[in-house]
Amino acid sequence: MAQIGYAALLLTLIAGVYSAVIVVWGRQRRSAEMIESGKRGMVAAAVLCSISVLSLLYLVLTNDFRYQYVYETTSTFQPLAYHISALWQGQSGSILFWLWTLSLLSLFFILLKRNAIQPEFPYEIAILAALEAFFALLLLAAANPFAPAVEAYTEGFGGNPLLENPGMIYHPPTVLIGYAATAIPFAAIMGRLLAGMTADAAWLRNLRPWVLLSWLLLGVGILLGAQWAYVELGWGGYWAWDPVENASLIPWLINTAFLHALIMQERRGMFKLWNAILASATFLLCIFATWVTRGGAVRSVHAFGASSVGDFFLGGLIVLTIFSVWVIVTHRKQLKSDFEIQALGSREAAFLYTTLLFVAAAGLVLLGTVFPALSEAITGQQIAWGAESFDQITRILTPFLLVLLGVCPILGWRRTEGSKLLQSLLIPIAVALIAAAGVILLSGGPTYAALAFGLVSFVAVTILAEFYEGWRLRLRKGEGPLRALLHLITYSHRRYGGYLVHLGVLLMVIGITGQSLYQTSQQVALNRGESVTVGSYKLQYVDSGTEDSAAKRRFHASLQVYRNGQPQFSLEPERNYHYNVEQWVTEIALRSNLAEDLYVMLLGLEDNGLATFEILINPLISWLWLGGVVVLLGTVLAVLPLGRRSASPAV
Amino acid sequence: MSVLAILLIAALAGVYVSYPLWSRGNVKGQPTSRAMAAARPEPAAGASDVEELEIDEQAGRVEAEDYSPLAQSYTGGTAVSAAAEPDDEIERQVRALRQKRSTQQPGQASSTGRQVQRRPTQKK
Repeated sequence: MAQIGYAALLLTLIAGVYSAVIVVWGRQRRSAEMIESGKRGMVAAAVLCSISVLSLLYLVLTNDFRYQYVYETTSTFQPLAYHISALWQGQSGSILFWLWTLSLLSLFFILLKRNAIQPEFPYEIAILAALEAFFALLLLAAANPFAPAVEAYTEGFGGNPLLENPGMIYHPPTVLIGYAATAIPFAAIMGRLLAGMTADAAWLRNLRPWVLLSWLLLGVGILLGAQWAYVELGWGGYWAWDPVENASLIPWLINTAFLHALIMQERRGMFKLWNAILASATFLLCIFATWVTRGGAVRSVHAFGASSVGDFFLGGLIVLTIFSVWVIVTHRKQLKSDFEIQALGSREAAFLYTTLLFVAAAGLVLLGTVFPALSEAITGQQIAWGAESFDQITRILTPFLLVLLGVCPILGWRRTEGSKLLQSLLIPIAVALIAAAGVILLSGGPTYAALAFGLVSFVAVTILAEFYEGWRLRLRKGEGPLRALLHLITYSHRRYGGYLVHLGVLLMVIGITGQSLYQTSQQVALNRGESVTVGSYKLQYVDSGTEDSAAKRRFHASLQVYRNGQPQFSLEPERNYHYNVEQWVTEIALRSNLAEDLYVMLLGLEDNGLATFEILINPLISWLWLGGVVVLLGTVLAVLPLGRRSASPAV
Repeated sequence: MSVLAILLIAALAGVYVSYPLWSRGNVKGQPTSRAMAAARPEPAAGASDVEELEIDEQAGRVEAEDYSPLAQSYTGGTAVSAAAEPDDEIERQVRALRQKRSTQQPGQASSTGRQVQRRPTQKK
């Protein structure tokens, strides 16, 4: 089976190179037959890559330890779910998964094109096929997942126990599909430029779902990773500004900027050059992120070690950067804006500020991520930014973002009349002031919380007012209240889907602010029967025990939780010793509701039963995850082909 | 066994990929070179976007002078690039040829000396 998988990978490389070459040649000769052959090459590449993936999956599921990848990622002790997730757990497997999703997404992109004979089509195929060929070559030359084991193993090493979490099943594939999805807008925009064409509104409308898809997948992947870190890594937080986390965040921030700038290009024919740069930057940064995580570019908890894979990614990154710059520079005439920004207080200007804000955020996170390497190269000494520096940047940028979120929908196209703006802002500002005052009065707390919650209220009111205005307009047309609301959302699903996303962001801001400003923690050592009070909870240590299994030694302690003197529920945190990695792994105990999370870690358990716990109360953290769900729903609403539409061309 | 499977996969892939090159345009659904040259972007339309603009207009966020071109860009705005399309010349020639053919009666000799055959049309 390994030979078939390897051969399929080799044939994927050949199909990729063939498609890339024949479509460009076919385009020059105006031969639809050659272009069709290239298109079929992409179909073949997707099928061949699928064969390769299925071959690896078969080896993993059958515990065939004759192969190094299978030995490193699985063991006979692992349940089926972690056998399947082993496919993307290791370095070469994850790169194969990257390639597979790229080939499938490219295939969907090509097959979904209703007008497949547009001039940019060959270039799009060429770019996507070349990317597939690059990944296939990388796998064959530097990260072969079908390489034989270095010695005869009877048992697998198994994966990192930290990865034995449901998060491992859904987080990495979501991020990897998100990375691969950014290749589609990149190829489409570069293809359009190479074909000598301008991206018009109709074409952009059809590109938008792909941009949204990549944005959503990457965003959801990041959030799932944060949730995984929260429940598995056992330090009470969800984001540590680790280089690997940052590496995914940076392209997502740029993609967010791209998504907003794309609206301006579609509506006003503006920001064309900006969009070409942002589409390229998003994809290049995804390659950068893969280099960071898979190529050993930086040291991190969850990065792989340095290898020749890193050289390949660096080489690919350089080639792609040169290609993008070349295409943009040589086709800059196609990227001239149809309109200029006429007033600093216009909606066009607000979109520009939003875009700049996200680019600035991405730039700062990128600088902080590569700063250790930069400082070492310049001064010979590694200087790393602490989490506090990143937090500080977030605290500075978030209020600006919230103001833009609130003001942008109110601003007029081209210019805004001061009196109308003031009239629209009056109620939101009043609500914001009341909310801020309420926060100060109730918690007597930090002024930043008052600012954040005040701004959140301000934005929420402006968004809800938008819903109300649209609904009222439909009522005036004679529709009933429910029908008006339904039609408002389905007919203008892009706009209201977007607003729903913004509401989701507000919920996330509430969660982040609550957790970061109001978190309380206490470390305590207890004997059986003793109790401790944290916040409004009283936790009594009831019992403990140890259990042995082939893979680990499990230490656990049970706690009874009381509130207002009444028993509420019990918690059982664990601390396990995993034999394969000779490492302690904490399994937290968690009780969650909308107000707060009670988060308990077992830090140590003595033979005499003395247990050390860390108990945290994370206020409002559930709002972060809830906000993620709302963002997901909003994006799906924006992407779904709802409402009244007539035929428009495929991208 | 593996070698046989690999050879079979490679052969199937090779035949599938190269088929358009040696099938002389008999692939079902495949655009011909002529169709490729004649292709041009279709006009865009988006009633929902016009509706969004209507909301903006009601709220006084878009003025009449802006509203019309903005709305037009969704309802009737053909691709800006259509005018700059490099295949325009071929397209013009194809259109002229089609017009010429449509004026000829079935069975009448075309300029290329072949019989013009009308395809049966399907009523929708």
